[in-house]
Amino acid sequence: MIKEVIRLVKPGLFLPMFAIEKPAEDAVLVRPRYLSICAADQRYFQGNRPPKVLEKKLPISLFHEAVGEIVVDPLHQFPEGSFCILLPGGVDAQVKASNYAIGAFFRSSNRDGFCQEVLAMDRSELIPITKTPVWPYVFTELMSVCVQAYGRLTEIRKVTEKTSFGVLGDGSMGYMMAQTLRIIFPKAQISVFGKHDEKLLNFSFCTHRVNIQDTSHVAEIDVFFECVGGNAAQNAIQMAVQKINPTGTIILMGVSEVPPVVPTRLILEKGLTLIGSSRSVRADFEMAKSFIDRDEIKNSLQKIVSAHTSFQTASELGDIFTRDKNLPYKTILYKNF
Amino acid sequence: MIYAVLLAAGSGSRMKTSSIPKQFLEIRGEPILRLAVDKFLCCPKIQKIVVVAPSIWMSHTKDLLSNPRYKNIDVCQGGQTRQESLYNAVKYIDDTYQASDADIVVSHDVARPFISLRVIEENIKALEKYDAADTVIPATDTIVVSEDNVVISSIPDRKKMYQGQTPQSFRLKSYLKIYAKLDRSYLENVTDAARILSENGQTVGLVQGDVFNIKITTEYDFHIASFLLGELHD
Repeated sequence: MIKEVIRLVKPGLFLPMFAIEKPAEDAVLVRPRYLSICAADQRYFQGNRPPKVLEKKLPISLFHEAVGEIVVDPLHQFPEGSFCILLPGGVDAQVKASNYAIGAFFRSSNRDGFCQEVLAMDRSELIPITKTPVWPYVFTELMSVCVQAYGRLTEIRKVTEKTSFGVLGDGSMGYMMAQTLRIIFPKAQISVFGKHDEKLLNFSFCTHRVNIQDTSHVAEIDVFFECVGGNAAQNAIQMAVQKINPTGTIILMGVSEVPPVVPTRLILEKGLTLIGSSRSVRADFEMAKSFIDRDEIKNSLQKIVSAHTSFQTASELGDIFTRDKNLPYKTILYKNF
Repeated sequence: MIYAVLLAAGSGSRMKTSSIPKQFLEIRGEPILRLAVDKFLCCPKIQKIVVVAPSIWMSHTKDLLSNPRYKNIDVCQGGQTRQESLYNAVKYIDDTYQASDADIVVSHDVARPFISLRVIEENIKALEKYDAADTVIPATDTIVVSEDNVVISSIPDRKKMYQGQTPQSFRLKSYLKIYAKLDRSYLENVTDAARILSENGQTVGLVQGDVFNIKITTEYDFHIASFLLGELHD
């Protein structure tokens, strides 16, 4: 079967391309429907990756956050017309270690993403959605990364309701991380740090909302989750190192193209542990989905959506990316091709 | 029921360099016929597919569709013209499956393997509103009419001009009723189901096609299709 794949061919330019899909006998044919733009997708679109990286990776189909509609399942496990969360890590991404292997399969990074008319997937790459509306589950990937970050933390230290958590970043990732912590620890102290008062208002479930202009009254923090990335990551990491309690843990989750300067003296003085965590496997997705299944979580996700839109063509997709870069939160797209 | 009739009965006479009809040529190891059939298999709304093949290529067509995943596909014999092949397939469906007034046929040329799921779905949806549907794209070139093939007779307003593609979709019983009343000379001059239907009282709605939904007719088209699918030739 010939399928259309919209690929980014150079920064700022999407083009329709075509590929032949030869499904395995028991493969499930899925039509990606709901997509959301991740900062990583936007970095490719804006050309904010080193030229050598762009040369190696483009053309590529973007999007690794997706919900798909089942078209055909030869084994009839998934009903036609039902929806599934699509896992971007391929069939190998079932266990944690596989995620961080060199060259690990990941859509919209080293494999085509979900901006495809239809694709054949292994059933291990699908998690069925049983509730409506369907679009909030496009956030499952983002929340699964938060679930894994929390899991990585628990591998090295004990955390309880008495642990004091700090979340750096008032964007979508910070919101999902703070929500994940609140679900796991309904009574723990969770402080969110951001620079936008309006965005901080969304974190009503957090104990403290701190504008980084004034951190003089910050409570003691045992564990920081850095959800900032980009050029602002350096300041965030420096602040975390300064404010965190001795022997604390900082989980780095934001991507920075320019390597941030890390204050090693203070890290050594305080005996801190730094963890890098940015991916997720099936178990993380399943837990994240169980969180989003909760009505209060699912309904609240609209708070971190700046735009709902749909597209059919490559040029429409380019326009959406151009608009998205100036929006505070996520753009959710319905793919109509 | 919604049936797909996939027309693969052409002789491929416009592809001068090949003795094999174009629908059986391969791109990246896949016959064009199968590329088109596979797309229709991805449409859960289509409950039955009938492939129309030339008589001497019937067994070849069946061989290509012998994999178990093509189990729900019938192959029927084409006619002398495209119109006759379509009629044969529709008649075959009516005779074999006792069609009802509500049954729909989505007819498509297998020489257009780049057909999108969206266009197929919009054809089906268009029949909720219209008697029939035709897939078109706006004409980008100026259309020139010449009655004598020597000088220009007229140049119609391009904004009103469209290029026809397939699928063309219609109600099975209505098509058969109209077809039965048509005389042979009329049918010999008309290759297109949408024209028959629109000239015989049916309202034919337009479905937005796709510029990539090309018809592989000539060597040029074959090269373009191969290029689009990444099969580059030095």
